[in-house]
Amino acid sequence: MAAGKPVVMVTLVSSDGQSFQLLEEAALLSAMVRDTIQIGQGRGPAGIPIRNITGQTLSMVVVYCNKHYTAAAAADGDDAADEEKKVANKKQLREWDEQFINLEQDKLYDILVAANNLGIDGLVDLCCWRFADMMKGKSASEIRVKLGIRDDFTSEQRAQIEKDSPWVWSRTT
Amino acid sequence: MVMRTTKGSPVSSPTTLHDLPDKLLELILLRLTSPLWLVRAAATCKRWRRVAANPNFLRHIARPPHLVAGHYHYYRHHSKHHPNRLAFVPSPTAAFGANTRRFSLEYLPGGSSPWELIDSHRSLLLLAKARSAHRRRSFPDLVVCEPVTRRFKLIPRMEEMKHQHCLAVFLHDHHYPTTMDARACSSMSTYRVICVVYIECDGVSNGLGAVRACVFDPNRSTRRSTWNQRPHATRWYMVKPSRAMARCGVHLRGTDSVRFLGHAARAWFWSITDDDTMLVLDECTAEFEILRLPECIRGSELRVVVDGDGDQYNGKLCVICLDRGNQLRVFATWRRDHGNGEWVLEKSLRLAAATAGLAGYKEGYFSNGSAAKVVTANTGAVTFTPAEETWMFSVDLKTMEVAHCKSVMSVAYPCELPWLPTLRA
Repeated sequence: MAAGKPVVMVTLVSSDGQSFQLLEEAALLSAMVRDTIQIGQGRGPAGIPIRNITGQTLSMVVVYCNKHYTAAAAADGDDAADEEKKVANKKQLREWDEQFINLEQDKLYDILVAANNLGIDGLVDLCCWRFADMMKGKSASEIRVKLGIRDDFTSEQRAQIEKDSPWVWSRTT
Repeated sequence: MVMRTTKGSPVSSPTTLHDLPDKLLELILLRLTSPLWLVRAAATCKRWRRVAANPNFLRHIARPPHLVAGHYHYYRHHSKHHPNRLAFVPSPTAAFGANTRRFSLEYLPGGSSPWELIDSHRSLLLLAKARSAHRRRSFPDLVVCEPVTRRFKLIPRMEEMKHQHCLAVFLHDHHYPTTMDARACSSMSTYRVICVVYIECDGVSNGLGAVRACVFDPNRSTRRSTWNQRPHATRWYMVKPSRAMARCGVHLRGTDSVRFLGHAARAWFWSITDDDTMLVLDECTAEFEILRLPECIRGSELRVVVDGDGDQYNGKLCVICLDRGNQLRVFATWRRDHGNGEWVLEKSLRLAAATAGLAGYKEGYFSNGSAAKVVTANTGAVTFTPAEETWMFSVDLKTMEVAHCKSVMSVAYPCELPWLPTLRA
């Protein structure tokens, strides 16, 4: 971590009143926090109120921001020449991401919406990949079961789908 | 915390993917990198289908590189083993398993037997109505079909050309991949059929003739057509020769003086007997041009032309030729805008020496000076047989390794899954 810089903390306050303190630089991963600080707000002791996001979800988002900030700071501090180490660090971070996002669906949903509202592109991307992975290689009805989707097609629509792309119902690898 | 099983029903899970805003749903669907997955996701409920079928969404999807469902093998000759002449072999990576019924062509008018498979392009096949022996080379009645979706379009022959010799008929998609919007179009509306005809010159006794391209374009407005103004006009039209071609005036001595070499670098190629040139038909413009052969190739027999670098288009093509003594040489060259007309010898191989160790090789192959014949060719490999008798071996164009192959005499036409998949909200 860069030494000598003054440590600035910001406070994020969830919709149910829980406060989370984190390094400003970590919080800047969020476009929404960035905008708030840019217009000169949010640095006070009252912190930045985050509407619609509960403490449980926000705590996960804060963990993600801290991890990614630390990883980025460590990468900056390293010698540029050490390519191997950089690749290894990246791989480590990817593995951490995978572990982190291996969640139940309702939590994943909450985090995706929160990341979207806060404007954290990396986390949005991560959640979307996780959801997409849940669907890959499944038939339409298996996807419905997995994600709890109700089939609301009319019988005509179903016949049309069957005609246009007959392979949708069967399973693939 | 609510405990949930993997089979969580909508009741026990208050928040589901279903509640996401469209924008996030799009982001998720964009990450389904196979069209099979996307089509299946779009078949789960109305809302997902609406999002996936939106042309603005479809425009953001990158085309996956290979979606080959399988190959149609067309047997040129009747045999006991292949009474149907046409067989579909699913590719091992496709998801159909043994269920090839989807790919049957029996839904064509009259079933599949009156039709000869002559070309394929992406998800479409081009078939010609079988002609009697003496009309074999006349302008055929055609059908373009998409086996997966069971759609077809009959293309009656171009009446004005019915007495002319037809050298070849090709199918291609002139929109792909130059325009973004075209990617959201249905494959059945963006194809073109190009028929190459040989027209004998009037009043010339020694059999001189010219080649012309006739194009069938289902989207061409008939109003623009200068060829045919009648209300029931078909969408065939003849391409005017380019100015350069008109100037040099390429004439051929009979239909046997050209031999088809293959498709590469967005063009079709023919060799011209006793001439130091190749005839080239550009896929986009449907105009002919003449490619002059360099000194080093003259005198050797041109056999095949294949794409230089696989799917990636950079104008490179490989010309494979055989010298006397059956030395195979692979030359690379680049088309107009991509090179300065240079030819580079990339590989060479003595067929007799290279194949001597293979099973079934007989002393005397490749010895009497007649060049080996090509059975099939694609970007990666070419299959040859010696002129003496049928004994097939393939040459890998990257490694120049040879291998004996037992396959029967059939031409394989790849057939892809339709892309973009048909999605109607």
